[in-house]
Amino acid sequence: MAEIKCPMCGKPNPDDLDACQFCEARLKPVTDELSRSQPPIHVGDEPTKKDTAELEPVLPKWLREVRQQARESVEEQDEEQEQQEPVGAGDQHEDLLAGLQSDIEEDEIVPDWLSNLHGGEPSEIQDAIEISEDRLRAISGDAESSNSDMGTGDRLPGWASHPDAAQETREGGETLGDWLAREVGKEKAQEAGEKAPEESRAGFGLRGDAETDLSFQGESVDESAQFEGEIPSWLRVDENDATSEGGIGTKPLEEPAYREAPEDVQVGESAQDEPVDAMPDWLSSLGEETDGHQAGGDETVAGNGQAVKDDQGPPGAESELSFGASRPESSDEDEIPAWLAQMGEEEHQDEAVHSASEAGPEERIPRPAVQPEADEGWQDLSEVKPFALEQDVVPNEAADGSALLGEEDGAGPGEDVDALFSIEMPDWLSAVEQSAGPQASPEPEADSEVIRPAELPSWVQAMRPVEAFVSGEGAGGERSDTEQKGPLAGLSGVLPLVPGVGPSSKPKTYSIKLQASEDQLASAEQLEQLLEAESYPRPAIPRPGLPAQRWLRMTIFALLLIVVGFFLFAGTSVMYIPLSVTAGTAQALNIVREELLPDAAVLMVFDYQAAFAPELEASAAPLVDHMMLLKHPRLTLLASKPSATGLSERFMHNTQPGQSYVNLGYLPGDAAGALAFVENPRSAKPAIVDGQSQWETPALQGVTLVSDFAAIFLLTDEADTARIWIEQLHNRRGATRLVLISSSQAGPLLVPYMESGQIDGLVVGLEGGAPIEKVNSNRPGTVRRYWDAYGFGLIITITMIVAGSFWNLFSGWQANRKKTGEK
Amino acid sequence: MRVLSIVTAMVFGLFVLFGYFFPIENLQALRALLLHWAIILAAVAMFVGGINLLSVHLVKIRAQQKNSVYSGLLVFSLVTALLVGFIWPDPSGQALRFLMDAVIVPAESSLLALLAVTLIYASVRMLRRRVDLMTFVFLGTVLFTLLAAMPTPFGKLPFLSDLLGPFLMGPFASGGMRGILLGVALGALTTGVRVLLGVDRPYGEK
Repeated sequence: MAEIKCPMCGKPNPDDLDACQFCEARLKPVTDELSRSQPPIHVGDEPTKKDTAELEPVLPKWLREVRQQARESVEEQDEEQEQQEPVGAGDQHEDLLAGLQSDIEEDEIVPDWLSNLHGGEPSEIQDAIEISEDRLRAISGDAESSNSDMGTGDRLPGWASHPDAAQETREGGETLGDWLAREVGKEKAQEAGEKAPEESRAGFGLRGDAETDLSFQGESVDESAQFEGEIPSWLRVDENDATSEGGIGTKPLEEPAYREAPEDVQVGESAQDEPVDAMPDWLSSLGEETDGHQAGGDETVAGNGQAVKDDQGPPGAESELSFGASRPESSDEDEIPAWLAQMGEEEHQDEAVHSASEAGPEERIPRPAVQPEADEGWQDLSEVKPFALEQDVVPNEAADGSALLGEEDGAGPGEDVDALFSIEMPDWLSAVEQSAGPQASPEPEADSEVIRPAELPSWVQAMRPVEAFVSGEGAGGERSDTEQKGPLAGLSGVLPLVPGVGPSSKPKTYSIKLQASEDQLASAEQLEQLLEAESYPRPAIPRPGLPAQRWLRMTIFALLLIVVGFFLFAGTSVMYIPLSVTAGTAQALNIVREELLPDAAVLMVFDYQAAFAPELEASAAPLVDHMMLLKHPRLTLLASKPSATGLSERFMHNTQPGQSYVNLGYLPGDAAGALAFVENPRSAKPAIVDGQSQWETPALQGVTLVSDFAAIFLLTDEADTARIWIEQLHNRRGATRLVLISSSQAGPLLVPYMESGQIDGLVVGLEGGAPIEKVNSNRPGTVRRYWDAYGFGLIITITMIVAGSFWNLFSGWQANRKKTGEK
Repeated sequence: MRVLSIVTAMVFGLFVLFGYFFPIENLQALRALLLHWAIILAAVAMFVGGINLLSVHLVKIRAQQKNSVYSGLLVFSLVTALLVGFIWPDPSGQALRFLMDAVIVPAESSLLALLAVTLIYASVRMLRRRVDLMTFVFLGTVLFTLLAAMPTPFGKLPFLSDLLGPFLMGPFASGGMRGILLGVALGALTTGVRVLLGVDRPYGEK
């Protein structure tokens, strides 16, 4: 057996089930039958009007007659109600019964379920017809007026007013709600008091109001009780009685009939499954179709916030619900739409069918499907129910759909209900209304012979699920609601791909071959070559080497040696020593002359190579000599280069002979050594000579930190080593003055430190020491000794560069000219 | 071993760096200890370098390679200075001062003096090898700077020493030197960070 997967819970179910046996969700779509007979509906398509009158000839003759008589009787009854006093229902009952009986007698094809109807007692059938008629009148009466005419005894539904029926229902299986039982019991008591019609009617009306309030307006029972002043006296008496007896007082208000519907649904479904095969095709199809409408209508009601989910509940309850929706809005019978009038006519048929089919004691109970296993008659009656529900569907639809969307003529109750719910309607529903409203199907004519059993209103067609039409398969088909692939795999209830929304054909394939012209390809290739050439270095053009001109080099060397040697050893004083000094030299001189205190501890760091010894000694000697003459500082020597220890001794021996000083020696480690010495001089350079620490000598007494020195003179020939000391001393030296004496080569690199204030004085080369020596009374005279040689050496250098450049330029021009002439 | 050297360099470097920024006593003590170790290691490295230099030139002498005579002279000078230092350790003594005044200073100064001859020779030959704008700019700058610094019997050359010389030494030379120093500082910082992160391994590992 094929299985259907439930779209809600996903559990498998037999193929023949309409509802899930686990969650009771509908397995087959409501519009399954329609989908097979109609072309698929696409998104955006407007519903087409459907004339279902062609199905009328299919109906059996007795049924057609019954329907026709029902219409006529309803028309007559309406006329009589408007003009005359209410007429008893006995004639109508007789008419309905006569038609039914004649139909039963004349109909050749009588199904089994209908044959059971013949076994019923005439009196019981008569009672059933009376009950149906009363119920129909009650419904019609509610449709006519919501607040008035509640005292008319003709509108009391027979199933509710007949005490025997209620009693039998209670005995039959207690499928009716307690409220109904109490109501029937109350009617019994009222019959004894000769007020049975009024009280029963009052109870029905009260229930109808309660249902109306609860189901559509959402008002509480208390709110309904606020209208107590409007309730007639007989109703108040009824309430009192109910209170005392626990009957139909306020209990029906609290528990309306539709809340008991689920119990009926279960029973009804179980009873309906079996006799489907026994029904004629036309009737079974109508029944299925009606089920679909019924379910759709109920689901719509539930969607409106009501708790009704009874697919196969009592027709009376459904009718009451639907009319309860329209009752407050319908004040005039003329405003009743044609479909509602037709419903009234069909309601007679419904009652007639029920009455005719009920042969047992339960015949007066208007819920044949409630009794599942009472006897065969009840089962057959449940088979009749789908056809009867067809009549009930219309009011439900009207309550659910037309009441919201409005009728075509705009004069029915749906118009007012539309106005009531127009504010709360969602956009999608408003869109449906706009599209379906102008093209709504015409109302069936009341006096027409055409029966439209399966015609759907336009708005219902528009609201049909699209997927069933698109797929052409029902829920019972092979189509699975669970997505098997794609991003929505595993999800159920996904909308199918509608033709026209997505691509309907295979995507067009395009060739991946580049279609370009020859010019474009050539340009692309040229571009690639350019980009590729960028990644390769441009090869250097080899220049022709010049032959070494040793004689030129020897000439330069000879000239320099002669000139510089001559003036160096001659001891002349030709060149003028200027007195103008730079800012760094001036500050260094000022420190020596003004800031240093006598006998202050001064540290001299020798940080130069032996090659620069003559220059640095000549540059630093005047300043140191000036300082020694003025302040007599306690000198401490430190070397940061291996040969600087000997150079420091050389410096002191050549410039300050006889002066006492402390030579700490060589401090290795470059930057690390400088940092260690700046942070802790005694620890970084213990300087133990002959078992005695140099730090204990008088020159270093009181000196534990670098900041204890009054000044630090750094003699350097490299900017890098000077930078190390400047950086390490920056935050440690405190008020200690830092003066740099550098060679002419390193001088320009140290000028920025001087300009930024990181050093306090800067003496650069012979030019920096010359004015200091002149200020220092030409002591020690080293600058003067080198000054003439330095001056004449520059002159001869400039001369050689200028002369040699012009000569080489001319010779080169001649060579090129010669080459050009040769070519 | 490779990982150990990297971790050691990184940890020690971070200790010294953090000790520079955070004045924590224990951290300062650890930092001073590490610095002392660095000073000792640097001195030992210099001694090891001297031994390596001696061994290399001894190999050349033993192999009688080309110019092994100069290697013999180097070995002789090194051993002599070492012996003089051991025998007369006082740096202010006559022996070491003689070595300094008679050998080291004149030799190195002479080598530096050769630089002057080479530069003059290159300047003279520059216009023969390349004749373009930058060559003239270079030679002009050299000449004007020398003229501005050149003493004369009459004092400084007017205009050159008062205007052109300071102009060349100020915005151009000093500005250029500032840029160089900034580049050096950034390079030193980057190198330090790279060493701390183990990217650069100047201690022998690639």
